[in-house]
Amino acid sequence: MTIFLIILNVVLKSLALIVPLLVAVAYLTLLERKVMASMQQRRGPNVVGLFGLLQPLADGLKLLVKETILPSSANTVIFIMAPIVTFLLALLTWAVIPFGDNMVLIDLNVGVLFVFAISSLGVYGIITAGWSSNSKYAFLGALRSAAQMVSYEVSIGLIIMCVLLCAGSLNLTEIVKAQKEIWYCIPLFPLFLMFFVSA
Amino acid sequence: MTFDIFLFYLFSILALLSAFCTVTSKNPIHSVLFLVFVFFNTAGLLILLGVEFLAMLFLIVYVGAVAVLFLFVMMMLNVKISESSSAIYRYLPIGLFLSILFLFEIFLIIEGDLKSVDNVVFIQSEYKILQTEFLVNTSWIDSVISPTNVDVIGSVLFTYYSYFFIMASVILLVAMIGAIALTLHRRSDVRRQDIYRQLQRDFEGATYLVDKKI
Repeated sequence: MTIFLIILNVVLKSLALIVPLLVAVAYLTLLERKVMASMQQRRGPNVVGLFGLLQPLADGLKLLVKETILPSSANTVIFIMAPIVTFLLALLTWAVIPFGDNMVLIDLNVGVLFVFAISSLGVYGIITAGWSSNSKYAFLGALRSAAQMVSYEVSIGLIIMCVLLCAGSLNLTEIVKAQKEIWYCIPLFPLFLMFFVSA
Repeated sequence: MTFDIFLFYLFSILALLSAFCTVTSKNPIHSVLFLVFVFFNTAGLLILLGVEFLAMLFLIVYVGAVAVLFLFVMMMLNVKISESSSAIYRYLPIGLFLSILFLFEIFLIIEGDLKSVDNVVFIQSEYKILQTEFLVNTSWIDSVISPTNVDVIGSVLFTYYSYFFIMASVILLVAMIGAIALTLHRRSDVRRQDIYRQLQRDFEGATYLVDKKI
């Protein structure tokens, strides 16, 4: 019974994190399309729902009912696995992000390192996706994207190290609490600029 | 407690299986991916041991950097898909020798560790008795100061083992300089810009007369 309750707790917490996250991502894409449309003097999505507010849901429905295409020369297992891995890793980082006091899914002692490790794993999804489709162009694109992701990791790591030295902890909650007096992007303004460029 | 043991068996079984698949799979890319899975499971085992800092470093360094480079090289070089089975038997003796040597070393380590663990348990039990007989309260130091992994490793690494730390960094530096020196191959028959010479030019040296008979 207790195990059932624990599992229910974990599932509910994860859902409470993931569902708002995905809805937010969907509506951010709508915002991006609207802004891009207004930049090009178009209206953007405005048919589905009021001001096109239901457009992300319609898009999601369309993507769900689309036919799955598997290239006959592709490496099937890796081809299916690659997007799953990418999506999983993108969601996994949010587990250690603190939203408020005690509002964090896992309060890791090595939270920053966890975020760093997961983001460095994101390369695998890209590179396996490019390789498994057995096409030279997809593979070249994947190599370019992977090289870019790898190359900025070093500078991000060095910049984060400075923040860690200031906060004196790897725990993300502790780092947030250490900025009670002043945000670190003000005394570390040059680093903030460099991080903005690298990320 | 039982959940920990279940996780331990899960991680170790998966690690062993995927290590086996790393060696036996025909496609080298699959081998590398299985190797990545081995690293993952080993990181899980390290977390179960309570050394989460090392586990994260394991993930960042091995999975995030080394295995990615492996994958790059494997994908770009056109490695043959499968070797003939006779080649596998050719490497059997040296592989067997290396694995037996490794097993021997592991047993040496395990024996030393078990002895020290026994000692620690003995000391802890004595300490418990002392505590219950003389100091009725709990040990306040333990309840106040709970150093994390990073604190402990840092405080040991930068004090007692600072020489080894510096030595390791120098070895890394030598490797880096070596890699740069290997690629620094200047060909003499190629015209190239010499920025220092270009900046040093002035009016007096730029134009000059050439004695030429027409």
